[in-house]
Amino acid sequence: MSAQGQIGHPLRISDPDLLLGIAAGDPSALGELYARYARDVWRALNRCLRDGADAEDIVHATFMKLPQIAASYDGRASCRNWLCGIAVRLAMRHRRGAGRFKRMLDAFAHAVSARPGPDPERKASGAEQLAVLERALAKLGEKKRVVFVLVELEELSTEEAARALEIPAATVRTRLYHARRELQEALRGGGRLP
Amino acid sequence: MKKTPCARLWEIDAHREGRLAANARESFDRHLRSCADCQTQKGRDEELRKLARQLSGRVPGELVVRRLQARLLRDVAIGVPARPSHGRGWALAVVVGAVGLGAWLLVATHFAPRAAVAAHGPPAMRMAAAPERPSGPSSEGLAGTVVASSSARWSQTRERGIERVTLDDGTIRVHVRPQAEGERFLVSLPDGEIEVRGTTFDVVVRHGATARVSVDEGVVHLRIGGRGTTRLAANEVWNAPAPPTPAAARKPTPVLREPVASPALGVPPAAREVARDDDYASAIELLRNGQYDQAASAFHALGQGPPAPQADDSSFLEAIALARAGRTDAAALVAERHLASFPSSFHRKEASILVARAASRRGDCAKARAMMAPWTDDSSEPNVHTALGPCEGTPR
Repeated sequence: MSAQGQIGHPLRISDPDLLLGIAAGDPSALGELYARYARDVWRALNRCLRDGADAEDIVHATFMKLPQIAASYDGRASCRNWLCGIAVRLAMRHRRGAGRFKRMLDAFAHAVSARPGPDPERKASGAEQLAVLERALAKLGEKKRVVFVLVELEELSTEEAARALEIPAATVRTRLYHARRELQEALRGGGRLP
Repeated sequence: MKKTPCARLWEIDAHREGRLAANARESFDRHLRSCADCQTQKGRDEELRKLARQLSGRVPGELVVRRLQARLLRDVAIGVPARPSHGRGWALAVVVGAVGLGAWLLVATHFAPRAAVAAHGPPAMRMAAAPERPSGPSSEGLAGTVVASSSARWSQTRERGIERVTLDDGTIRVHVRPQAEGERFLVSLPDGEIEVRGTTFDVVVRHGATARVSVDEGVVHLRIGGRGTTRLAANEVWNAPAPPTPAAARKPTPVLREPVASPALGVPPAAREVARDDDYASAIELLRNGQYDQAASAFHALGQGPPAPQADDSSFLEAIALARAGRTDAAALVAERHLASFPSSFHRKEASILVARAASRRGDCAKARAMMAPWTDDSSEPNVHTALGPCEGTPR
């Protein structure tokens, strides 16, 4: 058995080609895709879940699924959003199965709410605004927060978020609208937005 | 009376996402110029978006990513189910995971005394299919996964349990699963050879000569130009020696990510001895200062190259430094090597204790007892008994 190196290939193998390799059982393609996107998926999950340990498990499970589902990839140039979507969907299923998601969210909301209010130093540094937003985001309902994170922070389109969450795009837009309104009200309450 | 918000607010997102047809887009652009509601809302949304993107998202460090990547490749290779553990099966999953992880750690710590390290290597890679089969010798499947730079010239073959990657030029990154008994994995270079048992490392060849070998996990044995074997452990790098100059004879104490063993060719023996004395003193100083990892690397480097008066002590002190760094298994490996290289060493008992401690910790009581057998009657030596740990009372 042998493999032969060649000269003159593109510098960076494309995501669709990597996924083809993964579908064909090439572990090095999986390793490369992991190196490329694991952090992005991790960050998206952390913003949704706020639990590092669970994020680690779900990132792992997401990439473990790829050999089975890679063939279904639609061929877009970047599979980052697709991966984030799979990960979030896994997280939601995980939550439904174990009920831990809710507890994590509650724990996070409690932890964030329990933090002391902004002090002059933080205010002076401009971090207060972020702290207000962070607390408001933690208090958002889970469905609204996940949509907000996917669309506004992870930059998925509403269509991509809808596919990821397996809900209609219109529902994504409605949740996003309410999420923004709640967050903007929280920020206005803190005198941070007009 | 409260003013009704603009009915076209919903088009802000559609416009931003490009979901509007050309006519509708132009229409909304015109509307936006005159609608205060839409302008305000668009401004608020953008401000919120900008602010939200400043929220720090926790991401794992490079080391963690490498560790998890290795875990992923291993799990895929052995067919672990792709589900996060939860629900009724969580206890079973935890037990299975713990056993698997334990077994892997045993292997990993045996062959790879240190965890993965920061990323390096070329930004652009291409890959060759190399399915991992971690279950013993096989005529199917390759043991090594090679990721090569686009211009690399290389090949990979496997025959009768001997797998060989030949690198003529360029950069490759190689991940090799642990080798079973009877298997060998070799990287042939224009001027030498690398042999590994299970590891992840990078190799760079330029202009027909090996320029750099960098190890992430495990241990590789590098043989370049007939100058003996250089052992590179995790986090260590070998760089091709610069053209010899008198100044090169007094190279600084090796530190992590620095060349650990590049004998300065062409340096007069006397100058080399002076340099070695200085290096030995520096290594001792590192050990005294509690910089155990660096001390281990420095002592290790002293053990390379031509025989030296400090070789016996250096070899033993490398094991001591590793033990103090908490790398018990690595310390034991080095101690075993010390015992094999210096059978009449003054440090025999202490080296045996290091080996026995690690064996006892792994539950290998037979080995622990065998290591301590020459000294078990010495009741005045408490270390002899503590080295056996839980094995002391177990049946022989």
